[in-house]
Amino acid sequence: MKDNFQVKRHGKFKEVWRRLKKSKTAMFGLVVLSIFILAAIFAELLIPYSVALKQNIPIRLQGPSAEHWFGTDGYGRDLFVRILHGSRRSLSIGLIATASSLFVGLIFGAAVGYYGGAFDNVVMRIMDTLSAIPATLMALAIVAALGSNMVNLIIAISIARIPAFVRIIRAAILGVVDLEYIEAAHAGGAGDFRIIMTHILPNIVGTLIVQTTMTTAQLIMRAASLSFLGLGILPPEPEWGALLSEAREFMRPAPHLMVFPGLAIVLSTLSLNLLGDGLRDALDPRLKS
Amino acid sequence: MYKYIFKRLLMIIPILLGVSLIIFFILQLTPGDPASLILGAGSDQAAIDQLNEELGYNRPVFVRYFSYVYNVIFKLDFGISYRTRLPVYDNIRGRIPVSVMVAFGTIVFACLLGIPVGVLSAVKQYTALDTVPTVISLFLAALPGFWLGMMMMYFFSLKLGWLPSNGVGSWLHYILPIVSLGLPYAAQELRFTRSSMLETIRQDYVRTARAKGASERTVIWRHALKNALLPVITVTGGNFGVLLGGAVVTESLFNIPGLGSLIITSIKIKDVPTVMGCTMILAVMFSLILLGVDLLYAAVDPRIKAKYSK
Repeated sequence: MKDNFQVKRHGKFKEVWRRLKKSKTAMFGLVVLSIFILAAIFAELLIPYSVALKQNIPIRLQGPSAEHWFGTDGYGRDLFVRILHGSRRSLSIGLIATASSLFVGLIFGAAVGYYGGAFDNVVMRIMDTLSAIPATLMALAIVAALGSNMVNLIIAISIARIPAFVRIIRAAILGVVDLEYIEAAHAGGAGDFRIIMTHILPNIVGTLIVQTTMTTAQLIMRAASLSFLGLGILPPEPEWGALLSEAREFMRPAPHLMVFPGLAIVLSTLSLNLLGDGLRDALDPRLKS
Repeated sequence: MYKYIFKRLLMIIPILLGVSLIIFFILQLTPGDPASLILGAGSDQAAIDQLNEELGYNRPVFVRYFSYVYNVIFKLDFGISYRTRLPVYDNIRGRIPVSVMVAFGTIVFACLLGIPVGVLSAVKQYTALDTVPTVISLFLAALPGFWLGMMMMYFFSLKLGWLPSNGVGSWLHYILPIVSLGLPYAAQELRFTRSSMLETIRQDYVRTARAKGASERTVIWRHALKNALLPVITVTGGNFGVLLGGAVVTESLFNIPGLGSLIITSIKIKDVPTVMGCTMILAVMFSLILLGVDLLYAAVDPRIKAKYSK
């Protein structure tokens, strides 16, 4: 694996894309995911946010119809529009939280893997401690302490993911740090930062991409579950978990209120998982099972 | 071996101290003081001050942290709940078995479903017996457990009236929570078993077993499965630990009086001692389970056992 990432990167990515295209499930994931992301980006252009908040009591709790595709909620708001605008929050929370934990994980993982010693020991023990706290619990405590809003929710769910990224990156660096080509780079006068960025990290880009897609899926679910508990994004702001929490009240008269937001979560996480699986196989065909 | 166990047990101590430190200081960021929470917002300021003084809340935060740790370690005293004003441990004690029951039931359900189907998928690779479970498991893995719980509650409790939807009166009450929590985990067990099994059945010793004339059944279920289960054990142990504290959402959905639902209510009303107590209990159980998994590893794999006894 080490060698074939060192060959021309341009050709490498073309090759990965060629293999990825052959996997129908990965392509399905990519298409569905793209639709979700495009919908989230252009939500405001499609239907203004004010529609998602507009109450219309006389038509409350209606089932799906031509006018209201996914029906209406307890205040007569259009559920489709709420899910559409909810996608902005749910997806960006998942993506931003993943990116932040990856970023912090990269810094610490690279530093401890590269420098080792006492620093490595201290950081890894802190990571062990963080992993001994159940992720949901830690997120709950952080949101409760800092207050329920989007930024705090993102902080809360990212922290619990940091140890996993630190471990992956540290392990990858330990695997190559003693190899001759790193020594050669040193001899060639490259600095530590340059060596990490250009000689070590490209080796684990594949693993990281796969981890990132899977983590995003997990964090979308975790954010939804926190909002569902009332410790995250709070109603009336639409977020998929918050929509499910509102749906709880009307389970008997209006089950559609829980079906559609749930399907939105399932489809987005499923597409991320399928894409992640496809990428893993495409990046390293030998792992294909 | 004993030396290894002892060493591992010792290593749990700093981890627990770290966990208590992190959670304690996160919870300190919560606005408000305990006496106002206990007495209610509109109460007499003098009474609030007096109660805060009694609870020791006016001491510096580090003093409070160390006295908390001291009380927990030397007196097994987790403090007084702000809500019930009873010792925290009394509130928690009755809930531990409920949470363990849910987590254990979920893991057993997930393994009983996921592992055999996973083995079957691997043995019958590329047939319908492989693709159908694999596709289903992909969907299940993408399902949030609490949503599955809501849907099942709707169908089996509200529509069909077959199963109770909340509380823990009888074993029937455990079915919906365990199945809805367990299906996504079963999917994970299936995927791990399948890929581990696929690797194992291509190994030389499995071919040797076949060559010696062992029946296909013996080869798969006795020879191959034993080795293939190793990675599955790790995942299962980790899941068990996560489930103990992570069933929070499902517990609150089905009104199950476990640790998870206690944590939720306590966090919402800022009952810091109760949250701390639950967290510490969960962290202890989690660490012990991880140790148990490693020991189980040694029991299953003599190579690992040899490494430990050095």
